[in-house]
Amino acid sequence: MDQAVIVSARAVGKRYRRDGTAFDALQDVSFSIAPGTFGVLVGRSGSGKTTLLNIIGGLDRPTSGALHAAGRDLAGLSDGELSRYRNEKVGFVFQAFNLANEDSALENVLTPYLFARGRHRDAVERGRASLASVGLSDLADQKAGTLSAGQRQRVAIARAIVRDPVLLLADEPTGNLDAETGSEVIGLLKHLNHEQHMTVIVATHDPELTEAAGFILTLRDGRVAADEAEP
Amino acid sequence: MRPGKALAVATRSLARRRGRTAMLVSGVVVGVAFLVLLLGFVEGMRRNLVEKLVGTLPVTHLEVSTRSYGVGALQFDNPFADLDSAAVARIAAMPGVDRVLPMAGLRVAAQLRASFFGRGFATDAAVYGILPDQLGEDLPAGGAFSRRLSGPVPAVVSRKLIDMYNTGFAESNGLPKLNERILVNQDAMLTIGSSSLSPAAFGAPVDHVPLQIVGASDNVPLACISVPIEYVREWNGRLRDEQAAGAYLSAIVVAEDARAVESVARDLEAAGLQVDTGRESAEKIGAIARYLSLAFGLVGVVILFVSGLGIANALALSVLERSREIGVFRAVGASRGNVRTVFLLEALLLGMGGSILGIGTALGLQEVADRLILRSLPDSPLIPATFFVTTWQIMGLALIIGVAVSVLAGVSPALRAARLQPADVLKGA
Ligand SMILES: Nc1ncnc2c1ncn2[C@@H]1O[C@H](COP(=O)(O)OP(=O)(O)OP(=O)(O)O)[C@@H](O)[C@H]1O
Ligand SMILES: [Mg+2]
Repeated sequence: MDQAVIVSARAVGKRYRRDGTAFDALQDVSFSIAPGTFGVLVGRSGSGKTTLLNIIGGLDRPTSGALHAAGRDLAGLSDGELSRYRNEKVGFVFQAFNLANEDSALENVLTPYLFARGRHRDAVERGRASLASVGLSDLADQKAGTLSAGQRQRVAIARAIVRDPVLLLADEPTGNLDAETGSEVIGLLKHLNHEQHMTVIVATHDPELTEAAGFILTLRDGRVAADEAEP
Repeated sequence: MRPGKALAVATRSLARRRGRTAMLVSGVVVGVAFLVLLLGFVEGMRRNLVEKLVGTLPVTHLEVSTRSYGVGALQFDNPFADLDSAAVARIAAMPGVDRVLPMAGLRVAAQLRASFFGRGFATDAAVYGILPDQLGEDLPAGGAFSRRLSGPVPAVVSRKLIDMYNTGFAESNGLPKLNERILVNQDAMLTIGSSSLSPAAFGAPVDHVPLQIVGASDNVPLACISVPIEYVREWNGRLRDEQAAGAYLSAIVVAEDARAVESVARDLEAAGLQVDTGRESAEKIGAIARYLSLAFGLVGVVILFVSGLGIANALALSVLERSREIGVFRAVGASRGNVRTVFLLEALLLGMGGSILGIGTALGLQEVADRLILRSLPDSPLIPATFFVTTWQIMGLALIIGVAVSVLAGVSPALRAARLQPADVLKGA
């Protein structure tokens, strides 16, 4: 497979069955993304952005088509192998942060290490470094539930990058934040993309984000919008 | 996922939800404690009854008593309805029978008062009348065990009873131990016709008879005072009636040799008598104990089963509650197997914690129950120091069952947790 491609989708489809009738959340989606890209998925609500992001991140499987990412054919991986792919190659950031509020920021950041090999001490070191890179060194031992929304999303980003993934997938990361905090978070994602050469894919409604994007995919009812479809 | 990490996740999740964890653990505690209490009680009963109370007669000896046929006419058809002198003579004439040793039971209530080491005590007593022959080698020298014209009534106590007093009662009450030398020539007072459990009716005759212990023997009934048979017949006649004076309670039939025992037993049974060998009653009590432990054990298992259902329910609820957390675990690299492991481990920890606490609770409750029961019972060497015997096997069994029940209860919730689609549970703000 092409070295200059980190994610490539070929005719990816996702079909749900609802009350006996088939519903295509994704249909014939094809694209490829070069490593180090800052990519954006746009489209109206229900267009399939989250579904596609989950499939790229190995959290869901397509019902048709093929998806290659980080040198793997995701369709061919077992549950264990797919889990390892998520653990080592992918970082997820969600709109709702999804932190354990009772746990400290550092404990939250270290969650991926629960399912990884390696010594605890090294993990803690990595966790602190990760918190430092999102500017939260001082809050490592504070309970996640006591942090502000913007700080919580930073903790979530620190958790996503603690294993040094090649893919950082963010699903409406600013959806629960005010405009200013939101653009700070976007700035952080761009910074990670730029400084650490992580491939970042953000699903968003936010048209502002498209401006700086190196790759834009617009979804309409589960299909790639006609004007952007690959030849 | 390394076991240590899975354990860390499981313990952390249990610690985070203290209330729910406590509730689940207490379900196991109740079930396991019940199991241990019941099994310990049955085992205690088996030990106390089978191993202590059941004397084993020599192989040539059979104990016969009349079958209780109920009342009325039927009894007249049975030549052994009353075990009297005529019946004893008939038994003695049976082939293979060497001799017959009748025993008479005092038919009225009695109470014994004595003082040992300067401490007086009184106990309701059963009084048996026996022939000197029955004492065999234990017969005191000089014809001390016979009807006397005057002076105290000679009495013999069971050697086993002294053992029981020494190993149980004396130890648990901090009393000095007894031995035969101390006991012999001990004076006591026997009240006939009244006891603490059945005091004499107004105007009913009551006798006070001085008693002297003249020896101890293995050949006398365990839980009673044995005196020469003439006394008992006389007391029965005086305080009850003529018929009571003539009747025996039971008799020991001594066969000519071990080979004759079986045919003698058959003949006695054919003649309508109830025949007991020591082994038979031990087996009977053993069987009852086994039935009881089975029945009680089943009750404990049912309780555990019910708490198992509770655990399954609560864990299923907890899976729903924690679905988002499970989704995050999956997103950061947990496999279905990892999720399953964590949930099963939680169930295992609940089971182990609950079982250990349950065993401890049961041991504590046994102590309390022992004290309450012993306080409400009269002081007696017959009453064991403890009613519960909880062996390592019982504790091990309870631990295994407690853990197994909660792990089994955890299987379905764990599978459900592993089946969750992370894409579904992580949806939404
Ligand atoms: N598990 C499911 N079963 C049935 N239909 C589903 C399921 N998950 C998603 N869908 C449907 O698939 C379509 C795409 O959903 P998706 O969440 O990917 O959209 P989206 O672009 O992320 O929307 P939003 O901007 O609101 O987050 C929607 O119509 C949704 O209802
Ligand atoms: Mg979405």
